[in-house]
Amino acid sequence: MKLGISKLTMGYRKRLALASIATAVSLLVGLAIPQANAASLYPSKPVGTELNLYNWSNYIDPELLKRFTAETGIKVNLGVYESNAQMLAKLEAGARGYDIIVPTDYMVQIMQKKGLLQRIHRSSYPNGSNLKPEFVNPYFDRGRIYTVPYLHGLTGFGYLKDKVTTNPTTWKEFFAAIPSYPGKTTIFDDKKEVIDAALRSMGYKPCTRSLTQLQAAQDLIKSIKPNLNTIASSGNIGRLSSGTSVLLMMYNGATYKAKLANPNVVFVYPKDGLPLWQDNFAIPVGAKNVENAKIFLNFMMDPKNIAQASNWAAYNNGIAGSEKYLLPAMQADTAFSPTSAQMALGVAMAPCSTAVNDLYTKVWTAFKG
Amino acid sequence: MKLRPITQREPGIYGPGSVALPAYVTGILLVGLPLIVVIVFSFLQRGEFGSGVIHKFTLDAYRTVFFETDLMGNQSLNFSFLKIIFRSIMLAFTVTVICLIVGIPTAIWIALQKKSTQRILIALVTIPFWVNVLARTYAWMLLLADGGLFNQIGAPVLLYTSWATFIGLTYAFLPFMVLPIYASAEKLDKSILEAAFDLGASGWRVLIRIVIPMIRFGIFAGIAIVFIPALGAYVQPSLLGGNKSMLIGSLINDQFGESRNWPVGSALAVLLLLMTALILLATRRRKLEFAS
Repeated sequence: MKLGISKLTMGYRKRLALASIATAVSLLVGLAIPQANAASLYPSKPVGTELNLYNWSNYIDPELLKRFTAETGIKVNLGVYESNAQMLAKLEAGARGYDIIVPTDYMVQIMQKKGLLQRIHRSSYPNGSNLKPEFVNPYFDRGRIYTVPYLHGLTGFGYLKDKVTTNPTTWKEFFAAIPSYPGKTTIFDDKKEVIDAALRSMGYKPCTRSLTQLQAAQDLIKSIKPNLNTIASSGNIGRLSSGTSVLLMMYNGATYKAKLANPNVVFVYPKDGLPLWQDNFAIPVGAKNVENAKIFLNFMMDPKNIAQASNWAAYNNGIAGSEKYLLPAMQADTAFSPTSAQMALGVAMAPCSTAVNDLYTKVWTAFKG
Repeated sequence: MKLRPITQREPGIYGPGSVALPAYVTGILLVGLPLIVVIVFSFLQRGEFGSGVIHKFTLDAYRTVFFETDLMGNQSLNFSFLKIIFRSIMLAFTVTVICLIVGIPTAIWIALQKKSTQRILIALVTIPFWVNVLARTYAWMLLLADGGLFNQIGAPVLLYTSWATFIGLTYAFLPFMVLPIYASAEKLDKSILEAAFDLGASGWRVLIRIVIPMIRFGIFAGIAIVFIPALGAYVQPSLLGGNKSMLIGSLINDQFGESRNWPVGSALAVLLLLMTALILLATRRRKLEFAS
């Protein structure tokens, strides 16, 4: 633990030094070559043969990466992380050399405000116009200046219909059902997801500033805590399909995978609202192989390629025309493709302000104890 | 222990100080400087959008650690952090005691075997280090789960209880207790034990009055290198214990991650460091008392 912190902080100092050098260099280059902008358009040929992809663990089909290498001659080095915060901390601490990162919606906004992302000039890409219309203007990147969409999903809950017979359809019913299954329920180890769900279950809005509402959310999650077996964001596919947990907070795609192993699995899009999250490809400032990164982005906006990613991960994508390459059985399942009514329940979530985030931390610390 | 003090060696151009130079350099560069950065960060203001720091002096981080304003705006001493720190200490203490109870007899028993057997046993003790601790913890999850091996032979389901945490931590830290105790037990002069038996001492008496005092340095070393990392334990409580109560390790991790509050994370790390230093000083004091 101590070592981890030292690494971060050492890097921070270095980052300051590097950043000032980088600023000076870019100013000089900018003066010398007025048409430097041209270099950021889609490349005609790759530069070098490397691409460093920094992605969530277990989040891209290894076969797809192999095919990318076969088609372009660019080798992909994959680094993985477990959370947006981990990725941000690493980049902020001065990590260099990642060419592509995969931030979630709200993290795109934070990273863009911090000046950590490069403009990608999507319109100059051959596949740049393949985005589904509803993915062109997300709140976190209007017009898609910094990112292209990867996969998206929704956070609801899953249960085993042979064990949980009350047929819960809302967060309210989810929290109410938990005490009936002591030691057999799980929620995410994620402050925002859990507190948001608790607020929704009582009819309140996420990111509320109301202290009484937050207090009520805190009381609710504290009251169900003794019935949880574990608080975990990973390993839930196995927990649900094996029956270790019979009722648990889940992503839709993960629930679809659990369903393949156990037909009793049901995914619920809670009627009191649920978060719609989107992961995106972006090129961080300091990337070494920018041209190769752009070739990768273009590759991933090809309907056939992104469909392969969807088929492997069981999450849908934002590229028009990919539907015809998706596995039919998967596409027919509402856990993978929500009905339009279910999709309408999903809300893209902007991050809470720092002040509200601090209140969330208080609630979470009180809950975890 | 039987070596003469190092200052009595033949003088040469390379004095003891210069030989230790690489150690000093490594220590200052890899331990000293990062520590200074952590200490400095704990006195700085939190950065924009949460993460990072602003280079302005403030005691805010320590104020957050020691005092809290609850959701209703009442200010009070912050018991949640104190509780988390106390819980971490109790966990480390319990694990150290279990490791002592299991480790001392194991180490002495190994030391009393034939030389060739000793080598094999020590190799066996170190084998777990060949596998990543995370993989070994997952193996324990399978063993302790509902329907796992322990459950099949009649044990209750231990996974996601504090018992599972203790089993996982004891398993992980036991070699660190056994090895230093073995190192000092192996040097035991067996003729002293024989003399004690000849003079009529019982087995217990020999153990308590002769063996334990003679291997005390190994025991102190074992306590230090089990207790200190156990204070920061993170993997076993979250994977085996069900992650239901916060420990200082996960708290610091959260401050640098999701909560995006580096100064508070640094302040907590500094407090943990102070506690660890106090413990080290205490064991050192004891050592000196014993030695004199």
